[in-house]
Amino acid sequence: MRILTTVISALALAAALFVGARPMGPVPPLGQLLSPSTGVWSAVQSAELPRETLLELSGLSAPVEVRYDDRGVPHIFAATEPDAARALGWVHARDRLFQMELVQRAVAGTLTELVGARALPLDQSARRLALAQGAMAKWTAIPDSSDVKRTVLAYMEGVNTYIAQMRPQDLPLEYHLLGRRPRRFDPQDTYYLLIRMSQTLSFQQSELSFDAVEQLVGRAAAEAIYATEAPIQEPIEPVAGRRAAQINTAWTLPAPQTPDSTRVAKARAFGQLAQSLTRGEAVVGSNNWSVSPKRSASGHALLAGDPHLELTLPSIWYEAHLVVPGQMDVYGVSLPLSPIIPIGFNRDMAWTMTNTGNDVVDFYREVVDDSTSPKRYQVDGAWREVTSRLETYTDPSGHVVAVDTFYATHRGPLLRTALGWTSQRWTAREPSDEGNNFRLGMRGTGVRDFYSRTETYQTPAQNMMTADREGNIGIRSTGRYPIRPGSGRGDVVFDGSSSANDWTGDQPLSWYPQSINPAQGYLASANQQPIDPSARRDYHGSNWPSPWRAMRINHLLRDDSSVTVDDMRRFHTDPQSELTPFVMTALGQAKAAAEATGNWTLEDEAAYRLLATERPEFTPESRWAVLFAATVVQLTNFTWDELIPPGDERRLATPGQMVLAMLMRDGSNGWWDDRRTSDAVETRDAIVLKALRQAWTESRATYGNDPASWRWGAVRQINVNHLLRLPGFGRTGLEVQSGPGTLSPSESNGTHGASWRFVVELGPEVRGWGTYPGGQSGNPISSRYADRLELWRRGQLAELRFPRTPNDLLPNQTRSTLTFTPAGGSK
Amino acid sequence: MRAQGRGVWFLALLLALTLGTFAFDWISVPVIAAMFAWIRRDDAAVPVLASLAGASSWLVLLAVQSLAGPIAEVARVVGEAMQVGAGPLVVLTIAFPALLAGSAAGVVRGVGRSARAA
Repeated sequence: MRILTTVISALALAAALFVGARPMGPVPPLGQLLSPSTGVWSAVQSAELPRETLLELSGLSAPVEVRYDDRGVPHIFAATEPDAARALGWVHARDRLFQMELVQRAVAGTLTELVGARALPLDQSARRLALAQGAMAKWTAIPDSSDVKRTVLAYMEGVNTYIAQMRPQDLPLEYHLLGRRPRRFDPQDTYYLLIRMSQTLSFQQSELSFDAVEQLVGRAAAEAIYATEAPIQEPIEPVAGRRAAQINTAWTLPAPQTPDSTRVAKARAFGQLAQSLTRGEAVVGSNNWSVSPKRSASGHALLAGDPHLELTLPSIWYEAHLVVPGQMDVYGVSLPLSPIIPIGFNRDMAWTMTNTGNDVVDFYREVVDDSTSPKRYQVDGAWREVTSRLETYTDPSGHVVAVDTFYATHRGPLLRTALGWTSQRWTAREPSDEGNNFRLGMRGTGVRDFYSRTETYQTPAQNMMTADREGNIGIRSTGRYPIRPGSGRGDVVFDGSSSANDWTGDQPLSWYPQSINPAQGYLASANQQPIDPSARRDYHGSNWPSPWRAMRINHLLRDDSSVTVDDMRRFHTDPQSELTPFVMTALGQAKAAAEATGNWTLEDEAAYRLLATERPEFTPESRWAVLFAATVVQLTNFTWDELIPPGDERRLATPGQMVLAMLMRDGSNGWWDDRRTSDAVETRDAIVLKALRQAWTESRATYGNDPASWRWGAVRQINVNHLLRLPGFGRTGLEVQSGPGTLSPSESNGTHGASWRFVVELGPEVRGWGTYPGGQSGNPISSRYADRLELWRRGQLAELRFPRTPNDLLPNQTRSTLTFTPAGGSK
Repeated sequence: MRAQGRGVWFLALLLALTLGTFAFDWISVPVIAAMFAWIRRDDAAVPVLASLAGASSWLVLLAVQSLAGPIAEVARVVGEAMQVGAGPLVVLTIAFPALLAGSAAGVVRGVGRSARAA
């Protein structure tokens, strides 16, 4: 009995030691995880900022004072730019260390080393696109003696100093849960972040989805859907004298052709390739606008910024204020992993960005010597060497989980698809120094000076909106735009066997869409086509986003000749969409047609009356929004059946709402016929009525038989997930004032939206207001983790503190003080 | 007298486990429990008392951590992330040192008595 008891005890001890020291599947070693002194429980110790901290930081030239204000924003007062960067690196690491590592690994394609084989598809995608090689190309091209390199080096030393100084209780919870420790960072990691932003914003493959659509419905229809000239125009570069968006009445959508089995197979292959090259993100765009003094109530220029990105906790942005007397005094949002503030304001001016959507990626069909493992490819009749690289993926234990061989031509990655070998050229993968452009832009003294400082900026191409204290406003779509041979269009897959199809140079600055102090007194961009082709017929891209947000902001600014700061704030969450009139017109036409044939029922009337009589607004309380959004979804489903390959259930592509709105002007177009119904040839009126009926029936079944109980807030919500989508770390189900096509757009999964809203008034003293959906801290236990979410949800903004000196921040406005002194004295 | 001795022994073990975990982390729990069990290897209640001391020591440390911040929020967040819930996470946190200390004490007592019998 005694022996048995001892054996059982020994087995229990062995088991406890094993689970204490070794991971079991996704569960990390329990000893480290559960230890009250160093495990997850110790996270409470680092949740809040200590009132006062004094630390040594090696490499500083002089002491640095960091004052955290009552919103948790660090105001960094330093003697030199590298000192400020070093402190910012430390501060970023303290609040966002795990996020920084995750971003770096996402670009490097080493997520499997952190989270295991489940991340393999993401890693393969990153390595296939050679993102890390692109980042290294940028970093190595920067001269060692440059200021930007010194700044980045200092920043990353600050990050690594924090990691070296970390106590066990400072380890972010995510590392505890993964059973991992943070890696040390390299200076080039800043450029990993920049290329990550380029991938998010500028990596498009319209050519491939165009090809898929072309196979299914024919070239003429595909060209109309992927038009290089948007049929509804409210361009970024204003058209003098125009008072409303312009509709191209000559635009038509040719009837769809019927594909044979060969074309269907090709369509599927193109569709799969297009999907494999994207990260599957919803595209919701961004807004910015500015108002000149003559149209503002205060007589000062105003600027609003509203970049839309994936909403995560922690947020992509981190607010910071950097002060180097005589050199720099800039406030705005930074990106952890980088020492720059890409969006913000200084004592003289403010600037913000939206994405241009210009075509900066091209594809080339290559002729290779071996269809399985190419070693050479043909250009102008001669063979060139294919470069190859072996990529190995390992798990957290160091075991190899996969091995890939990737190839490249002089243009970029060479990808094998069902259609053969295709290489790809993308501006973002080539040497450039956006870090320095942003760094110089942060010091801009005015609108024109800012554009002068950012002339060589390349990627991702951005609509840079500016305003200054002199009352100037401006916008320029700045980026690298390749010059292509022939027609200049890049929305086709080129023949790679001819060097004549390669880029021949870059567009000059004068080509960039731009405007300074337009007569209309305001400027706006929302990812729309930048220049009305009736004014200038240059190729910028195709398949432009629907212009509803651009139209709405122009509409609001046109109607208000005395804009206040609060108006600017309110516009951010304006609840109306410019799509509404198009749909309501079509519904009215469908109603008239049905009444004429006696096909209009009482139920139809009830549904129509709700849409026609209630306020057309996407507010949480709206029931109009419930039925309207459902009708548009059904209309989309019934209209684009031709884009579902026969036998499949999913569309290969969905044309934008702008195309749908234009199609609704053509009641008998062949696209209205639903091929799935063999006994009828539908018209627009029939499809619109069918969509209304389906939306009405489904809404009643889903949200309640009585429409009085419907609420848009219960239908469409914002979900701010954690970066790893860890349950408990995110905040989901947030009711907000937003909808499809509104200035604060929301997609069906609610994971994308306004990532940072701010307004700046450029008076004698520059003042700013802003917020983002999250908080400064990456620690979910911290009161600063999601403290801004409610303000953001309500569409409110907080005043941003902008002290000139540390003492300008009053004691009741100061949450924490952090003083860095040079290690071993000043250098 | 015997009960009083047990009480002192238990409190001493509790203190040692608390300080040991604080200073040397979780791995100190079985080591300290084993050392203490050797001293009272003739006491049949040693494994049970060691288990209780192990659980109590980490409860004390959790109480100390709660002075620094919202420990219940840690339980909620981590419990949800691990998909076990806050309560089971706390129970697991207390059960783990109890198992370590109790089993280590059981092994030592068994080995110690065998050695004496031999």
